[in-house]
Amino acid sequence: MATIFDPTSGLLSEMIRATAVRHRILASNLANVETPGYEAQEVAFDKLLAEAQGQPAGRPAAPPGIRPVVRADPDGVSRRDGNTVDLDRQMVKMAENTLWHNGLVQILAQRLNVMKAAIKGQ
Amino acid sequence: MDGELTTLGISAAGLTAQRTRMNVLAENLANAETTRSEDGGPYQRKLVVLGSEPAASFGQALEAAQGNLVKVQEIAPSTEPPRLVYMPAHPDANAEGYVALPNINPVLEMVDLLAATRAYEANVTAVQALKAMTNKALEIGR
Repeated sequence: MATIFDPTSGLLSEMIRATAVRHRILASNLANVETPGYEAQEVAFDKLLAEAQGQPAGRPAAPPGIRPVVRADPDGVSRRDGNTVDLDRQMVKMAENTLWHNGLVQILAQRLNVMKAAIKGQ
Repeated sequence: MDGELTTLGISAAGLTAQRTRMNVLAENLANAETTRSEDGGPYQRKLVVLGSEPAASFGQALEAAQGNLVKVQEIAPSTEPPRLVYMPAHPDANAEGYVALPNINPVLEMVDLLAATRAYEANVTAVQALKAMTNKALEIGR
């Protein structure tokens, strides 16, 4: 896809989308914190990042597509009612995810501002 | 935007479920000594049964990253027998002088109420985090 946006901006927006999906899964875990038999889920996010970083150095021809993978939370500990949501861990993950999201948004906004400055010839 | 709305829906369902639970617990506590209920006999302790279901429609379900809503499946009466307390002067006492009081232990209800409050607060935090993230994303290009 030929655009004025470089692959890095594409990757950034894909990662922002991944944080949104991750937030949804965390919200789902929190909503079901008292549901018997509910299995906690997680989005394989760090793994996605590592894979994206594993792309050849320089500018990849196209932004690597990030598909968030939802899987059972491997850290989940089963309670007596079969629920595996650890409330504290989920809250920490949510705080971390929000920071990730805001950081990525900030970087993307910065890049767009640079482009805006270039277009305006400033 | 659909993604944000679905996420908000998941948290809203969590809030609704926990609030329903708190309402039922309050009803149980208020009726801990009620000997005459609508259907005769002592008040029956009520239990909220929660269940989860996929948040998205079938089309979106194929995407697999949909999350799960929590739904109140049922508000069921408890099967515990009533407490029998010896109060021969009570108008509802049986021939032996025992009164059947509701099968409610206020301590259990209070502990459950605390758990429901914490779960409610966790969902509120999720909504606030989503609002912060969405507001931040709106700053792009500003």
